[in-house]
Amino acid sequence: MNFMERKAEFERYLDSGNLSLATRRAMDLALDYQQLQSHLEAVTEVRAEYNRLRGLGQGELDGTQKQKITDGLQPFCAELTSVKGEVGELPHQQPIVVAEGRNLVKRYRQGGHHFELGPIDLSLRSGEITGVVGENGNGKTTLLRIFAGETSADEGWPEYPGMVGDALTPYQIKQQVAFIPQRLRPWHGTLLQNLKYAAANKGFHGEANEQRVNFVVHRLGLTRFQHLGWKQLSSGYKLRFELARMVVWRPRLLVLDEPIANLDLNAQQQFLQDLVHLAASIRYPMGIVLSSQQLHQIEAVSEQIVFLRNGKPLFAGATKNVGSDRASNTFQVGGSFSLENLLQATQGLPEIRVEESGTNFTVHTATAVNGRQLLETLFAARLEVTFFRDISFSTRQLLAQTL
Amino acid sequence: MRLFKKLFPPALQRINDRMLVNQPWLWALSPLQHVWGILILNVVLAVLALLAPLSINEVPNIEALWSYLFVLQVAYFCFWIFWQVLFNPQRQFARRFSLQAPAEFLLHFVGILLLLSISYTPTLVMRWRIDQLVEDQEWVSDWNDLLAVGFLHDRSDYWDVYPSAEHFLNGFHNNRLAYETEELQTQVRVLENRVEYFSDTNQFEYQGTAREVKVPVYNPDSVRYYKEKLRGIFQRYPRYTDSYADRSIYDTASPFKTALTHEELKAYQVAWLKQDAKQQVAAIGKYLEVVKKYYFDHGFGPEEVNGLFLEYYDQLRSKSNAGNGFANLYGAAEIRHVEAQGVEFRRNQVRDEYDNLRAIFKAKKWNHFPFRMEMVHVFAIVIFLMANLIFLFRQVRWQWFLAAIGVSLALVILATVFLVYFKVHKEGLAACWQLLIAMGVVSVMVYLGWSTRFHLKSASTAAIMLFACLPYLLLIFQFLADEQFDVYDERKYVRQKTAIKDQFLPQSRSSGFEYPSEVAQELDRLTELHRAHRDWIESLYWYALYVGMLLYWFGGTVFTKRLLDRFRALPAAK
Repeated sequence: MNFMERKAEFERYLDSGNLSLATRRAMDLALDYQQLQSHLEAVTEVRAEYNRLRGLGQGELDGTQKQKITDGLQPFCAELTSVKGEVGELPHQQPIVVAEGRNLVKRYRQGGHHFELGPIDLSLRSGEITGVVGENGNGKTTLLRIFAGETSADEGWPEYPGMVGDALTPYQIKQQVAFIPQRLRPWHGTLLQNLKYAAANKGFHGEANEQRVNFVVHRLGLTRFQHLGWKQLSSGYKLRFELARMVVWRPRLLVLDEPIANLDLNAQQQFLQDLVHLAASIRYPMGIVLSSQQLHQIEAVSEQIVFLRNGKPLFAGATKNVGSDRASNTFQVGGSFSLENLLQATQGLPEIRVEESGTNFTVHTATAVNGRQLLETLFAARLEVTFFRDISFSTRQLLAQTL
Repeated sequence: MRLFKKLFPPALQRINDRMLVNQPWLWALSPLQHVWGILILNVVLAVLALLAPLSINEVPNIEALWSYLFVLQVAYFCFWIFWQVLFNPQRQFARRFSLQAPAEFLLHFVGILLLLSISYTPTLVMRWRIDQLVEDQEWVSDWNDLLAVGFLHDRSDYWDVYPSAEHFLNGFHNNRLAYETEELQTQVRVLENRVEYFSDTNQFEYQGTAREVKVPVYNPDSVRYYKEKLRGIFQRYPRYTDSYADRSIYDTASPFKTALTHEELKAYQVAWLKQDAKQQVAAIGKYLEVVKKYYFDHGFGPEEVNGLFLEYYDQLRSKSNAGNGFANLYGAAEIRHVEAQGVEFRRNQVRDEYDNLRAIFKAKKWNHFPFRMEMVHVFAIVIFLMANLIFLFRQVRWQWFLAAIGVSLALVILATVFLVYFKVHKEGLAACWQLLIAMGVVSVMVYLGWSTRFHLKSASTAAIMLFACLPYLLLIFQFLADEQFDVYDERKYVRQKTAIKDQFLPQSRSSGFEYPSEVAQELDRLTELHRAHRDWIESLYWYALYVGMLLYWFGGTVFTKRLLDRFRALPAAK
């Protein structure tokens, strides 16, 4: 996304009254673009105020409060109109590939059986999100742990060309890789103290430390909770604080194992949206790889995706290429009708095949049949469709094949 | 914890906050909280020590007080370690600077050193208060008065003179001879020997009966106990003075000695024997006054002492005169030769009436544990070891650390079994070889770990063991020197000395022989040479320790940190 697109995005959020996104994107813009950096502190304070006001009410701001936030953003908006979008001198050369593994193989015993993960080829690029999906026990966590340097591969060896350092030692690599496991370890002390400590450990000292921690706390909507202890947080906020503790020191690679498993739908969307924005920072881009069972949410934010089944990558590549070599189109359909009704309604479509999958039906058709045609067919047959999803370009179709 | 936070001064908190964002490695060691916590503890304990009840007949033992406070010290130490585990920069693969390892190590060392004050401050306050209870000269005088009679209570094994057979028999008939079975049996055994030697028919009867004696036991806090005890003094102690050279009584010029040599005790003995009945009873009077002052009001007044014991003493003396021949017969034989001149006399029983005086003595004496100068060495080594263990613990995963402790213990047990099985007596050489072999093995394991691309638990465990031992590596030279000296000692010194001895000394006698002057000089020279070598080797022990520790601190810690950081960062194999 170039500057003009980002600017337009911000203005759209502001005009539509979506102050949550407007304040967040304002902070991102101020961080990335040299001419806006003088506003970073101010927009961070506006965002903090927004978070505080949200905390006072029931999550929604009234008109006066909205106006206050909008007014607070005005100086930034005024500056934005005069900016052409110069990034300025970047602190380091943006690498394309942060980490790369070729023919990665890992063997271990699982449930009394020998399990082999791989061989897998995978490149993790800065500014991009890579999703690793698949059923339980298919090697997602192991693959992530290999890239995080937590466990070794039996064959192949991940390289880290995007990391900073002359002759990279394991310690230097680990200094630039952040790993958030599925089960979070409890923190001790206040949350703010931990964030400052994490940032200081990675070289953000003095004023820079305060600024960086402030930015992350308010950017991730943690203003109201920063002085609390770990036990006082819900699991959703624990995850956000764990994310804050990692991104506060700007890792080059962020590895997250099943991060959204315990989040509600809104929290999932906000969390993933934040990941997209953090990864795509122009000044401080980072590569993100995460595993999840939530295929659609992950696909929505990932540039590339790996689908694992029994340790083998059924698909590994750009998300946009999922289903490009499919033999059929696949749809998920649900409603108050029976399998017979559905079969009867779709019998005219070419290469039609219907399967019951739990509460819904999976409909396979020839690639010539698209979603619109299928829906029209169903409506023509007066079927009451309550659920419909085209998964022809989703890894969901690969999962459907395993059911 | 919350109370502690509330008590933490805002000024220190501000410094602490600045430290958090500027020097997180230092902040993680919580130096300000540590110093503040120790300061508070010191003040609280010092106040408690100042307010604690104290009287001349209830004096706490300084050593015991120090030891109890040591438990508190250990508890605080555990808390301090726990805090350091919570915030460990190594766990976050933090940025480091080149001299961070020695700096961290030094802080661990100083931190533990500060912990020691928890034991020392209240102990110092208490010893000051105890010191104020009695003037030095008064203590010396009381101590002498106590010992002038009190020494008679001690086990007869330590004395040059045994109670005479006559008084033993006398005491036996009165059934008030002794208070301890062991003591009585010792006397009987002595009697048996003498009887056999002189074949006096009268003795056999008593020997047979003596074994059936029921020994009375009295409560030491009762008046009766003292009556029996003092009665026993006259029963047990004859007035033979012929065999002893005169010696001045306990030297008051160098006070505060409670560990008396045999010779010193003999001085009391001689002084006692030289006194007439009135003087002895007067001494008993003083003794009882000291007992009353420092320990227990037994109820004896000076008149009572005179009346009770002088009368009894006269009766006893008349009996003794009646059996004069009998007594003379045993007199010479009962002088036991003392082979080890100047051997330190150690009491094996703590007598209540000595306790408070001893406690006061310990408070007055600066070179007593825990204030001895030798403790500086001991603490330096122990604190260094502890600092190193904390240092290592923070660099590694706790599972590896526990594994290293487990493996070390197993190795010690194995080595002990090996040494016992093969009856290895040369401890120095055996330890030297063990250390070399162990370090060789762990070095190979560490190298294997270093050369792999992934982390091996065995290499980490070996590294912890290696680095825990590394500061003491130079001790090998001390072991070798010690061993070499033993060889020298055995082959040369002893052989020469024996040859000189053999030349002049009859085989049947080993002591009490006067050497010709030139032989004595040669023996003295050899003894001095031997002693000088021994001193040099002992000093080598300290040099090896301190040089090894310093080298490890300056260079070893940097290398250790680098290696263990690598192990920590490497992915785990399998």
